Amino acid sequence: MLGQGPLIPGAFRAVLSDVTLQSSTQDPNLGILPTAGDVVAVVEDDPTTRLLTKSWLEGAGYTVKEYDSERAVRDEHGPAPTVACVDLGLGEQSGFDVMSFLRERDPELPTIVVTAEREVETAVAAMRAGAYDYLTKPVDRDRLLHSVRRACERRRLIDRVKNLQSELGSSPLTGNVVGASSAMVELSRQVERVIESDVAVCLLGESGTGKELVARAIHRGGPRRAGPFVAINCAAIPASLQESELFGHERGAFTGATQNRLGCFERARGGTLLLDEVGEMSPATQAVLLRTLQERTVRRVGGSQEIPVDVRIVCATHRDLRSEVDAGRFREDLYFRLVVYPIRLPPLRERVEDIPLLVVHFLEKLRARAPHGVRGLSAEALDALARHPWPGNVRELENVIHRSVLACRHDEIALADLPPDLRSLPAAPADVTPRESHEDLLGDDEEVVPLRELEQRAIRKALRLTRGSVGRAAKLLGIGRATLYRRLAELDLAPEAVGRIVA
Amino acid sequence: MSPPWGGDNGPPSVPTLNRGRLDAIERDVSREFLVELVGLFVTDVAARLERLSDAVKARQTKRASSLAHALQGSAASLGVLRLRAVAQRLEELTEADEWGASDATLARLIDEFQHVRQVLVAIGSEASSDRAAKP
Repeated sequence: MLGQGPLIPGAFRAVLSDVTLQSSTQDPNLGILPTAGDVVAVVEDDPTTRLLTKSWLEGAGYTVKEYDSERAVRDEHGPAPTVACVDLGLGEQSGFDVMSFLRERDPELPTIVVTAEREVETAVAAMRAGAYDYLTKPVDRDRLLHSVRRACERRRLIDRVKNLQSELGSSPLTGNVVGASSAMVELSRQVERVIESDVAVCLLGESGTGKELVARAIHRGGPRRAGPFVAINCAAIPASLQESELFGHERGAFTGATQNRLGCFERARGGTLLLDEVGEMSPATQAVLLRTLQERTVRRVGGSQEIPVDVRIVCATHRDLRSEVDAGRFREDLYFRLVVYPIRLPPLRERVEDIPLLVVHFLEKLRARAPHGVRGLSAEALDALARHPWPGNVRELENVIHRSVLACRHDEIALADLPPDLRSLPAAPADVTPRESHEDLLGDDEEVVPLRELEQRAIRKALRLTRGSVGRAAKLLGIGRATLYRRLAELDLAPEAVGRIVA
Repeated sequence: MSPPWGGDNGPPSVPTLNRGRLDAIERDVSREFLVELVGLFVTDVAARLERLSDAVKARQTKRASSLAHALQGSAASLGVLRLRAVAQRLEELTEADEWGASDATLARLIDEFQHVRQVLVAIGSEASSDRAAKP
């Protein structure tokens, strides 16, 4: 389910939203609102075009650094811009050289190239060379501001992810699991607690929540990382073969056993053995497993020799194992052996704020497999994803994104590109009223929530309820939109992750 | 490629200006800015035309076509359509080393600039008198 990627703590997840793709017909002030500090480098040798571009961008709130030549760009030693707009026809110089120079200095710099109307081929070449977008002369103001805004948002997202990657460099889930929600941060903390020991961990979670990836993270992060990681799915193996698979067999042990065979325990020696879907193990195999765990030896089927094994056991199940014990389907003594430290993996519906980040991750993953031109998701499509209950969890999301990319004919997945069952879900209510319990915001009876934290919680909640709409959130909070923007900036927040995003 | 005015020396079919673009700039930024932008354009194009004339006279293919090309971007930004069209034609001619036709088109470009300068100055004056008329 979950792929390779960064883990992002909940405290920073808000940055992933508020990517509002505005057209000129929408509120122009909202549509062009930049984040304070966004700097746009304008590289243009024509003074008229440069002045006009600068004026439009400054009018929209951006800080503009202007350069009239490749030389001027190379002589700049100040801080890197957020985004660059580069005229490809820089007189006798090459805009491509400027582009390469800028990207050499800052590989993540989104570059918007500007070409003459007749030079679409040049623009295509620039896109192939890594440009973020292209505009043709005469540049249209709304198109320019739209493109710059999206590029800034992309840049902010990349910067945040990098910062978080660096902050969480030691997190055991980094590089294994993608998530930014508080639920995923808590999961990371849980894993951290058990990673260095050999304590028996049981991963509890629905299908598609990433149990095997977390088990691999535990293995890779722990002292047994140099040993093998072996996974066996007990549900996929017939009861009659489970013993042989787990413990191996001797030649002639049963019909078809023409040679000795190592079981999973022996293959995992010195490493970690994941017993996936352990709740599906047959009663007979449960008995042998219990003995193996007690004795720390295995006896192959048909063999008589006790073979010592040194293996860390991690088990996983989508079932409620305690209920299975109560129902008599799972041995209680084995339960206590296996479930020393249970870790619950949250289903995707409990962490919808991770969906934008997961979408970005899957788009990148698909791009690595086969190049595609899809950069993001429309607001409507993202809303539909946020409403879906995701019974198949992240694995299902990956499948949906893959299908949508294949269906998508533009650079953005639209609602119509999603599978029909996602498109038909009812829309979120247009108007929401605050219905959150006071306990949620104020903490329990024993807890006093600091005012700053209280304010953050209220803002987050309002944005979540309004799916990232700052205007409606401000209304719910009883403050003006400008005040909310100011508070968001002061608290280092941005409208919540159920907003909109580009890859 | 056929020229946009129906022949190298024929009457132009392209309008002098896209007034809508100038109006949009004024609306999006300010009238004062439009006047400043027009002033910059006139000064800059005058200087470019001098360099372009030198390059055409010296039969410098690459330099002449590059300068003609750059002029188009400048004209396009302000919606100066006919000047842009003539500059585009000059770029094609210089690229093809058709210097006889290039000389004629350069002369036409200079004429067109004189014409458009008057039009733009008039627009600037309108702006100034509007400002003066404001209470």
